[in-house]
Amino acid sequence: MSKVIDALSILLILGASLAFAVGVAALGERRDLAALYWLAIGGLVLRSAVELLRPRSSSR
Amino acid sequence: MNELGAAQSGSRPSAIASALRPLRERASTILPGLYAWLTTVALPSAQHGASASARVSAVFALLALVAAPLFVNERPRLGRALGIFSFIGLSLLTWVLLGAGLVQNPGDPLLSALGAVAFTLYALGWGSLRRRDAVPEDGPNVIPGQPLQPRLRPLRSTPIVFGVILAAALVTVFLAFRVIEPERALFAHAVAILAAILTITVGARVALLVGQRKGLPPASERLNAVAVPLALLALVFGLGFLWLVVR
Repeated sequence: MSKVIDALSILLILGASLAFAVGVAALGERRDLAALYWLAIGGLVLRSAVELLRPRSSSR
Repeated sequence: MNELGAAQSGSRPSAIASALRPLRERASTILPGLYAWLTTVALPSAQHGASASARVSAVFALLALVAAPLFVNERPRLGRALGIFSFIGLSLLTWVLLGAGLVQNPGDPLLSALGAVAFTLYALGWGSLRRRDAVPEDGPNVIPGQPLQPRLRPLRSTPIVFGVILAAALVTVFLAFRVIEPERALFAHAVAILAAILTITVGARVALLVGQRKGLPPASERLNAVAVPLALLALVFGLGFLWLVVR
């Protein structure tokens, strides 16, 4: 199970990077709303990866 | 030729060699700096419409770059002031003085990208380097006793995972160079660098902790923690899909 979670966290980071890249590409094509949307998606995916790694509720 | 003359002519190459030694030792810093200067400072300054002040500033930037290694061993503060603050500051001054002339060659984003990479390598080269004869344990700030053991030992897969994440993060930075409009390009670069920093920061933590079991909470707790952000993500994806359908 832990291996699946590790793989998921790597996939989430790669997904976040992809979303950021799409956002920057959309910025270059003058699609501002799409750019903001994909950058927000990237931020959320990255946040998910952090939570998956070290949950905030952890007592450590 | 008398003996004195022979000794002087023999000592001249060795004097030149000793003068060039700092440049050789710092080649890993100087060469990227030279490339960065050539591609991003010298080429725009050499254009037809560039002002004389920009050219002078570019030449002084090169002098600061080359002079820095000569002082870095004996007078490290002066060396760093020349190599970091003077070189970067004079390069910035050249760009400011060039004004619109800086973007007269927008058709070659690859060259600009390589220049940015060279500046990164130059910055890395100025990281604190230990001298050859220095022993870290002799430092005055060393705490005596047994060396502290790392809490986690990185696995073999760690560099691979981090390499993949690093490459993915750099894609965004390179995509920013494809933005043509100057105002948008500036914003795109800022966003891309911020995104790359965030991705690499989180990626480094993931790469170090992948495969580790020690000190991590149980899998169920980790999955529960990620439920809320993933639900929010699904909601945003749903809204995006709805927007696509309505549009």
